[in-house]
Amino acid sequence: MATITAFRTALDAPQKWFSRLAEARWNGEPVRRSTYFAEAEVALGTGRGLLFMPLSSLSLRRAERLIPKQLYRNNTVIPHLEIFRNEMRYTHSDNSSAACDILYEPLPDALPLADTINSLAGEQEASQIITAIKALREELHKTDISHNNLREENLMIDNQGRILPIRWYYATSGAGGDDEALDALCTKIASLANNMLLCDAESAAYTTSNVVSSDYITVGRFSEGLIAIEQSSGWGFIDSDNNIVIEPKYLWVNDFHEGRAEVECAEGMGLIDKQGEYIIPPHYRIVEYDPVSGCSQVYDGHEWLEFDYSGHLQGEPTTAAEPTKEIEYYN
Amino acid sequence: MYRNPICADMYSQEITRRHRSAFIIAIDQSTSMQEVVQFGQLVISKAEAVAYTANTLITELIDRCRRTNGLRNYYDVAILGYGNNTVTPLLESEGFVSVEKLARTLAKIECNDDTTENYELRHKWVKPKAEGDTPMYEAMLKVRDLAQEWCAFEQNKDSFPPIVINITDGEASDCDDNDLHDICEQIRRTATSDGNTLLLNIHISTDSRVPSIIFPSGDELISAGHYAHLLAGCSSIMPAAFNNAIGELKGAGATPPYYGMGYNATIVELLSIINIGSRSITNMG
Repeated sequence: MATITAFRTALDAPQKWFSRLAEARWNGEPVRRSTYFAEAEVALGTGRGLLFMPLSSLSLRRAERLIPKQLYRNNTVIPHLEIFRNEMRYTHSDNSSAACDILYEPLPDALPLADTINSLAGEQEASQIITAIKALREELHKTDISHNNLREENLMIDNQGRILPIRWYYATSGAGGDDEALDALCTKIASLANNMLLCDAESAAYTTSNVVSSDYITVGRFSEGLIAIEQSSGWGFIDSDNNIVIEPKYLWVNDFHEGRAEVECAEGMGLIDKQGEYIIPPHYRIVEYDPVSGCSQVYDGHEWLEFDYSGHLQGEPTTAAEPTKEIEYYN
Repeated sequence: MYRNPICADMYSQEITRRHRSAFIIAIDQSTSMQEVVQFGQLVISKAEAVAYTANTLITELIDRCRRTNGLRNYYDVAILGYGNNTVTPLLESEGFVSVEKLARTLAKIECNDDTTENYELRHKWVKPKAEGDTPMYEAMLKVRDLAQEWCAFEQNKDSFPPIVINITDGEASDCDDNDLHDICEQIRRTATSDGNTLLLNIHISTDSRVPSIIFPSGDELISAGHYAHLLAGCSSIMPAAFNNAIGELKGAGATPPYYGMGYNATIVELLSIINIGSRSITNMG
């Protein structure tokens, strides 16, 4: 593994030792060491960020699993972490050369929360911070993620009063891992401000980024290599090269999941494969496909039927009341 | 995206008891593997066909290790299944299992039921499953760790490098193209002194309208679609030692180097690719 000395050497002369991070400018603060990383703050372009050099072969495991989930796309709390493979060159004691990966995390335009807490101006400010912490907690739950390292030094506060965690390299999927730490922090702040009241917060709004081409009325999400699009003739699917794969002729389509998509046309709802062939013909009022089991529950107006992944009818039909869910599909 | 061919003098280590080799098989077990395919006279699900293929490979490896005086441990085998948001080892161990141990399982089955047919015997190691999404990135992370671990063993440092075969019928549900490309590159970067790990990605399909692409050269990929390009970028370029066998499979006019991949492959083509991937290296005394 590369040493902290090698990291410092690279930070001193980034153009010599880094590749894509050659323009990074170290702020000169001491290199900080944690269990898994050596860390330095740098200015890069118009922003600033943290460079993490792995100190163990296990260091990047969690980041590697977190990054592909691309949670930052729908979320303003989680930064866009990036692993630069073989980014930092260094020399071993025997003069042989090697390269190691570097994890980069952009820093928000914010100040350390610890500084604000240490200079609390009174109950009102404490209450605002607690509200912001609760908003953060809610957002982490909504995103279904745990930061797992939410100490005071890993929290910042921006000029809107939002609390923003940094050092995300221990984060994992699944919410709840930070509740205890955030509760403890709220208690500490409340205590500092002489037992002030806690107040509830509105959760942050989510936005999704849809690319809308001028060729189409609506463009859906990329799923399994295909994107649902709407033209004046109806809904269909294109591939990533913008070729029409399934003609836009449907009144409604769902995204593809495990090779199947529910569609609706004038005759009713059905299920298609990625070639646009019907697996379940469009004769039904409702088709609900479960991508986990591969089975579809189908309602023909009188009874429920079950079809397997290949479109074969399973078992005996069951009679049931018309479900309220139908409204969703026919809207 | 196209890489330079590998040096001709690599991938030449004979497989012996002192220089074993490793096979890592990653199998897509997502819902879409329920789709049925024609396989000889049978109409079976892709999951069943792929399980059969994996079990056939294990049987073949065991057979290759049989000698008059017993079984010789030439291979370490790991098989992973990925689906329903998890990656699961499909053999008895989290990591590698020796051929000797796999053969002992077979021997037990043979003793217990003499009437059992081979087809069923082969199903004893890998069982078909098809449920949920396609966590291919997570599976490739595990494959990388296994390949790294195997290459790091002192006894394997001069061995023929591991051969990884990833069998899927669709896109990963847990990463984008760049992430998949990145992790596959890391797998291919693991190495012994005899060469880098060979990664073969095989996409199987029932779509007869799109022609299959098997061990393509760079020229053959020019008109191929996006996913075929992605698979090529994720796969190894096959070493010269495999060229004759690939040339025979592809027929006249095929020119190396070839990418270790199959796109839109039938089950028969899948068997051919695995056959070439496992047979073109020699095992000696």
